Amino acid sequence: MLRLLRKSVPIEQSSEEDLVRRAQEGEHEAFRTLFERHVSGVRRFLGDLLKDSAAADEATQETFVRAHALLGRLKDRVRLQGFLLGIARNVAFEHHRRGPTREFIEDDTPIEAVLPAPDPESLMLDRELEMQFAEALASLKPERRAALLMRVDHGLPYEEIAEAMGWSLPTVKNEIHRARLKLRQLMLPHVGGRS
Amino acid sequence: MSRCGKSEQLEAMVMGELSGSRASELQAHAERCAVCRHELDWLQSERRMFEHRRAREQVQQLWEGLAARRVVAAPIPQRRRDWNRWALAAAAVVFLSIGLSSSQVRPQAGEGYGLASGEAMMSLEEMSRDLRSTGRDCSELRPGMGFACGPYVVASFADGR
Repeated sequence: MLRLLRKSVPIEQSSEEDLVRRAQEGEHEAFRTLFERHVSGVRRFLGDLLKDSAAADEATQETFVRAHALLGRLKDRVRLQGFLLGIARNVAFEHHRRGPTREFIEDDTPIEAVLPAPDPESLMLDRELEMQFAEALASLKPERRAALLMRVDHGLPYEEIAEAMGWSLPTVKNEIHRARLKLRQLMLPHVGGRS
Repeated sequence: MSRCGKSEQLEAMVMGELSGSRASELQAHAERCAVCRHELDWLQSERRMFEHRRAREQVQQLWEGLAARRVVAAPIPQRRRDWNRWALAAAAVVFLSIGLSSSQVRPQAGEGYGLASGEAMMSLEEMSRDLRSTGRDCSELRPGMGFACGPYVVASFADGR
């Protein structure tokens, strides 16, 4: 009876947990719905990591192929986003290893934490700032950038980031903290700070 | 980053992860605490930049979708040719002038209404009054009146109110 009731809910309105369970039981449509919900986020994440549109498209497909194969292992069904971004991060780093390695000269010397802060309300969000922001993001170390993006752009909690990255919780916090400081330092000349 | 020790809470607030009451409490604190205010400004600016970037990406995706349909590759359709508009305007002028000229030909007394020569036209009011007072059927109207049952309808309507 319960099963029948569950089936009567349109698939698009099903909860993520329910969809993951159904996909794990082999329901093709459930996996497709999950794909539709997450593909744009995964693609954006990979685009940010790879900085190559064609490679990001290919890596997105590879991520979902792997996710399909590994979905049975996902125990906490509400953590699908972290699971997908974790796979995507592995796919991206494998891609990096295959291609020419880019030297990241981001140093770990301490940054002055108290940089003048911009006024968020009067921030001029134009094309120029957009480009500078993209450049600043791209200049972060790939792992650090991935962690920051998972947190700020994809809204993952720290615990899920730790799981996806294979790091301890303090490492995640430290890496995201450093990524933020670096980003602020790079963006400060463009956003205008007030002390 | 906040030396006040509330960095993580401030971040959670900006990410929309705190309850309403906790968020208001923290917001109020940030108004008073310069260190937290500073951290909050950075977090909010960062959030705005990420949101803007996301919105821009959606626009880009929509544009790519449009490009894939080859809509944007084709030349933009021009406005209709001028001769089309002139033809339309000329037709409108002809139509209007015919309408005006026909309305200017006023009938002489009784002409076109089936009145006998020398018989004056009755106003609608007069006809209605006449019909109301008599209450006669159309068939009983005197010959030459010419309106058949028209006025009777008016009278009936007036009476029925």
